[in-house]
Amino acid sequence: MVDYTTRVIINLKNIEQSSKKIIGILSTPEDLRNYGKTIGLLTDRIAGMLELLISCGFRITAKKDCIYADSDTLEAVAARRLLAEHGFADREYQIYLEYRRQWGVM
Amino acid sequence: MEARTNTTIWYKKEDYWAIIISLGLILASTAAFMGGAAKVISHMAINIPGWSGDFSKIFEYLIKNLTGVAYLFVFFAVVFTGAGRILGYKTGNYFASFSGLFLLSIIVTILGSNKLLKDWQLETPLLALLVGMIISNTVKLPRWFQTGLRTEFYVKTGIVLMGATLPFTVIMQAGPLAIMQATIVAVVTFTTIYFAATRLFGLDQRFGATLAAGGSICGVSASIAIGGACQAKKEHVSVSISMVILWAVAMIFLLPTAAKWLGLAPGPAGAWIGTSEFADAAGFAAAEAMGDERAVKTFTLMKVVGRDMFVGIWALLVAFLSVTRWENKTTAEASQVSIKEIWQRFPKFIIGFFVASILTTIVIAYLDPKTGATFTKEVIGPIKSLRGWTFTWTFLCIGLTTRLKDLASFGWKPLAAFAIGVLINVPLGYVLSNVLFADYWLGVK
Repeated sequence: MVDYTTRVIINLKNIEQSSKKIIGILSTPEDLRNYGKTIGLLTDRIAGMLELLISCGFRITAKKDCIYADSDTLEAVAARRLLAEHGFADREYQIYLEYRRQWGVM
Repeated sequence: MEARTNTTIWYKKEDYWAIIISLGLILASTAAFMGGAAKVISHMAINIPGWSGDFSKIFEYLIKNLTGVAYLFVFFAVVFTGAGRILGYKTGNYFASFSGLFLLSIIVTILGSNKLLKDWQLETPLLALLVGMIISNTVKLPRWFQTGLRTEFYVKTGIVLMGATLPFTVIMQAGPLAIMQATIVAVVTFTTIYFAATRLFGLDQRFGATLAAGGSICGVSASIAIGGACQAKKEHVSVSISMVILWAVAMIFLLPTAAKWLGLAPGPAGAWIGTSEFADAAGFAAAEAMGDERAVKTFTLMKVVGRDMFVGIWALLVAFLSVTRWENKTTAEASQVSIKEIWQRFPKFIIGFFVASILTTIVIAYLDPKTGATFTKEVIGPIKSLRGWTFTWTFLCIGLTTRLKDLASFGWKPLAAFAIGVLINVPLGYVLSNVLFADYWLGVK
């Protein structure tokens, strides 16, 4: 009766916000190294999530402040389970599930 | 059948095409009127006259209005096929399918105008539905013919055209009451079905919410929106849709019959149908079956303004509920819920309905009373007629796409939960429309 698209939305604002929080108070080489590490960890996690989603057939689209990963074959519940099994917490992404009528549904 | 392109681009959604086609028609008609060429649209506004035994009257009418019928066909065949092409359907298939649908609609409208069939309460809406159902449940429709059977596309186009025939002042006056009545019924019915499903029958919470949305907010659209918002399983959304369709089709026959049997006035009867029908397309069939424009108006106010508009807000609430309460997580731990949900799930064709209403209201207010009356006759009148045709295609499509065998794959639990909701919703809708707020609905002309 319905088709669907499961969209995992990975928000990139976290990186931007981390930068904004810290950038005014960077004063020592140590601060800068720590800042680099923090950003590196964040981007590493996002890259890991993307690799996992791509391996499961998700289509990736880059947007201004987020990344969309879309699938028409993996249901939202399964996508969340998959991400949880690989250590990604719910708060690290958002899922938007869109159902669409198939032919003949009023 | 060609697959729909899976995309979120606006021009790949039928809501926007319903708006473009209808508003385009309204604007073109208004411009033609201002330019002194109002006859262009009135020419294709075909209104089959009533007839009894003598078919020659209809034959003469058709011969006399052959070019009008041709204009009507060509206009809608071209715009629907063109939109269908962009939506991802094969042009040839869509055109051929719409041609068949159009021919069928002419036959059904002629039959529905017969006095004997009218006396049997088989006017065009119910007849179209019955004819469609008989065909689809006895004959296997060819694949090419299925392409143009787009119930939702035609009803949305009709609803936007309906906006042009409803003064915005009426919407503003009746809107708050419609919203209040709809909210009372929606909250009570949603809660009833949800708790019956989850507490009484032990169904999954997301399934319960999807089922409850279908029975309380706006039918299939609500099941789809809420199912998406709370991330219900595909099979649960499908079962909820089956429930909605089964009850909606039953209510097309039951509600107008009950309203006529109880001797209800058209206004309150339309409001009752708007409160207790489950889907827009089915609701218009039931309201049109009342045979009075006031019933269609109050139905529209209740259903479109009171109920359909708020599906986005329901979606946001249910999404929030699902990630916090049902998953038992704090907002910090839970998956994010975006406020954008309201807009993403909002049925966009409603914007077209409001714009159409505002547009014609402004035009009529701008014209002097005499010219305004001429505008109502020469522009609004034909638009009303064209709206009637889009609804006839809708009703035929409901019938042609309702295969009872396909709807029967569900367990007794969702059926029982939904039925309990219906048992609450229908009497409550009756009391609100015909007792508590009857004066208000009687006032809608």
